[in-house]
Amino acid sequence: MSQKVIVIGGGNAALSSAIESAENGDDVTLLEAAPSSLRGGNSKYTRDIRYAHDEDEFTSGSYTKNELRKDLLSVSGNFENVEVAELVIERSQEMARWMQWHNITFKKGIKGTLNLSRTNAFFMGGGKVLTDNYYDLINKLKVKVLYGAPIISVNIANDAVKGLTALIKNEKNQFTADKYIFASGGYEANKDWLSQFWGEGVKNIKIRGSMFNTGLPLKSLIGNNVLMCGVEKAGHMVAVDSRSPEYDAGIVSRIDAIPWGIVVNKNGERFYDEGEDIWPKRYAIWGRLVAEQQSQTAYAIVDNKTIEKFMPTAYPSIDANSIDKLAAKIGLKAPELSNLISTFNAGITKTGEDVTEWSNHQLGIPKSHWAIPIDTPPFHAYPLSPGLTFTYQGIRINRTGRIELKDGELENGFAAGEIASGNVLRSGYLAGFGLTIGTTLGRLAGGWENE
Amino acid sequence: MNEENNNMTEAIRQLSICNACRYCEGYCAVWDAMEFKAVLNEGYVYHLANLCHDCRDCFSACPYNEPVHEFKLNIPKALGQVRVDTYTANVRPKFLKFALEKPVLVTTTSSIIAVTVAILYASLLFGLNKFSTLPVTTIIPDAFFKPVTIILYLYTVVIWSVEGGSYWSKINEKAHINVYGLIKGIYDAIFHTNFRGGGTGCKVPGKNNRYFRLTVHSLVMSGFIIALVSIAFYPDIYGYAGTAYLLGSIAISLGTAGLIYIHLIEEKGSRSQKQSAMDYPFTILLFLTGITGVIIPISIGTSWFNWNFLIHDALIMVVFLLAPFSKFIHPIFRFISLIKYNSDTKNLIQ
Ligand SMILES: Cc1cc2nc3c(=O)[nH]c(=O)nc-3n(C[C@H](O)[C@H](O)[C@H](O)COP(=O)(O)OP(=O)(O)OC[C@H]3O[C@@H](n4cnc5c(N)ncnc54)[C@H](O)[C@@H]3O)c2cc1C
Ligand code: SF4
Ligand code: SF4
Repeated sequence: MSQKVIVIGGGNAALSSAIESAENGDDVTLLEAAPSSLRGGNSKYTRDIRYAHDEDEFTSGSYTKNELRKDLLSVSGNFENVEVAELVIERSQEMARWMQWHNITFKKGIKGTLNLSRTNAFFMGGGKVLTDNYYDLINKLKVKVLYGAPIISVNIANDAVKGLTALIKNEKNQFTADKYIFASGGYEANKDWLSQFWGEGVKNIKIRGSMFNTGLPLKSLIGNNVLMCGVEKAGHMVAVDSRSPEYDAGIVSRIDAIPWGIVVNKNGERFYDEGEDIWPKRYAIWGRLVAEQQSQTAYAIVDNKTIEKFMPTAYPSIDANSIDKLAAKIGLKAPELSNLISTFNAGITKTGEDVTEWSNHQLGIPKSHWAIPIDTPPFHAYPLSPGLTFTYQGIRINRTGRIELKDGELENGFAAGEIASGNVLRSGYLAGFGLTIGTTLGRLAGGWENE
Repeated sequence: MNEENNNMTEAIRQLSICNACRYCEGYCAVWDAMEFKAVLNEGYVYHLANLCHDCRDCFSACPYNEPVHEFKLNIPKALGQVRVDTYTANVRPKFLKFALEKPVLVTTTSSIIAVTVAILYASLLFGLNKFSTLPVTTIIPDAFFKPVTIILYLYTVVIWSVEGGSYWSKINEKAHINVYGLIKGIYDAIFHTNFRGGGTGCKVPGKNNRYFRLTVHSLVMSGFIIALVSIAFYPDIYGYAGTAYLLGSIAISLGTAGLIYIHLIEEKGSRSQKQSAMDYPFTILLFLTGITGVIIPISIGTSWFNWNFLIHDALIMVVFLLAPFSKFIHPIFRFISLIKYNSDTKNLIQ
């Protein structure tokens, strides 16, 4: 018997569950909040997946379930929902093949520049191609897709979802089905919600992903006594260029310059050890650090000899031939900044040739690695803002993918993807695991277990 | 000039965003080449522009495209505009720039003039009535055909070289090409390595025929080379050389028909329309040379054999005369850039 399924959302998790359901013979309707030109949620900004695997052609070697588990625990401390986390780890193994069967082409290491990673597989073209291909596929599978159809409330009674209200062209429409899959992402684009934790400063936070991820279905579920997981205030935040758009700058706005120079706030003061870690890509802590500064703004300053060492930036650097002029251009007090940089340069201890070991412990806030003198003009500055990638808080589910209630479960309500990622990662983030959570839990919700 | 600057500034703005993204890595040589340069300069962007062949893979992969995204990216269009600028900036003699700016007019008028001159030549010298009964070697004697062909080839090759030299001087930086780069460049050009889209083919004309463009462009290119070589055996139009020439002509006809089909159905917004306007007339001209070439063996023994042959030759003459001032600059510039790209790759790996 074909059951009627409604999928809420239009990113990777929603599409994976729609594919799985339709392949199981269900009558599927997908409701996406965005118009078709902006469909695909945060998933359209992705580019790789992390999954446990034996040796395969998409990666440079095997990556065991134990390694993956260890890596996950090292970023998040412990699993909030061990059962579900273990299921995701287990099921991640067949993910790359499944994607390949469903029209996704992975990169193969052919040229010198295309280096494969061991833990992650990269797909051609990134997330827009991923989601576009899945949309083509669900179209062939006769899934009905409604765009511009945000769900604004969920009606729950007697441990079951009874219906949904969508706002289509400013009119409320009711939808009912036998089964509901919630895959509407986090609430990172809901600035009202975020202002509860960030107050006024929320306006200065850039949302890296889709402006449609406002978390309304999540909010409605919370109001209906479902179990939550993950910390509400927590979000993954990196330092991005202040000049980038408020929403949807995706991957390109991030700034990798930080370890190569110093970071100062509006008062021209350093506020954290830029070289805390020997690993130069730890920009993930900097979002929160910048968010704590006045006007949620800071400046990364480097000199000309390091400018080609980090990933190029989408916006050009602000350049000047002297620190004074640079200070004037970015609105800082010139004597303070000059002073800071000369003290910084003067106190550097160069141990050996390897700059990772150069440090400055003379300052109030040390720079423990990468302490390279800032002395070669032109000098370059990048204005920094916090860039929110996603929020952690979501819905607790059980091993069948069903949403858990304070006592029991929703018999016909499932959740997958970012909205349920708190089951696996309560904080921290492991590159490429967002899609893995979405694909495995999406397929689970779609009826994978029935095979 | 002004417009050229705008095209360059715009391309650098867009490519800087790509350089911070690089999701399109693997589609074509542009994306690997970009990674060789953290800070883009004009010369390098000219080079990238000629590595792009308008497959539209990156356009369909990009979440930052115009009109919906504030970044307003349209890489094939931005690179196409710069590419056209590299043609106009390096065309020699310089005054022939207008031929690139008015491609439809120039191609049509040249073709009409050439065909008219050929018909006049035939009718004045042999008389309209007698013309079709004479053997073809009487109308176009070997002693005339060979030198004209050689002069035409030389003319094209010389101008191409001057233009190529001018282009090279703008992109070469410190001119370190190497043997690997040369050989791999030839390989890439012949086997259309960059038309494979890292296993996903070309986004035009559509998802279900991803290797259509690779096929038709390969047909035009190989057909052209075969025809070029076999023509040297004129007036042997019956033996092996004749057969080869026929095959070449069939390949050109099919290939150009395919390219014209793509032109007709492609999404116009994701291409430089100047580039498109340049491609169109030249492809049609090539198509006509191909078709008249196919007709040669078919028409043997008929009264229109000589007419077709004459028109065919006239059109081929136009192809060679216009080659350095038309879309046909692209084989040279693209080839140079493929050599540079492969040389750079080699230098970087070492
Ligand atoms: C810049 C960036 C880069 C990233 N790179 C990677 C990467 O390389 N690999 C990786 O694994 N992860 C990456 N992530 C994380 C990854 O994007 C997410 O973990 C993943 O996409 C979540 O998928 P999802 O389907 O749950 O949510 P999304 O893809 O965000 O989809 C949510 C969908 O729900 C829709 N929606 C929202 N509200 C409603 C509503 N009320 N009614 C109906 N529909 C609604 C949205 O329009 C959207 O279509 C990245 C994230 C960002 C921001
Ligand atoms: S075209 Fe778009 S997706 Fe591709 S590299 Fe550039 S910015 Fe990234
Ligand atoms: S359109 Fe195709 S050939 Fe041109 S840059 Fe994009 S991917 Fe490369």
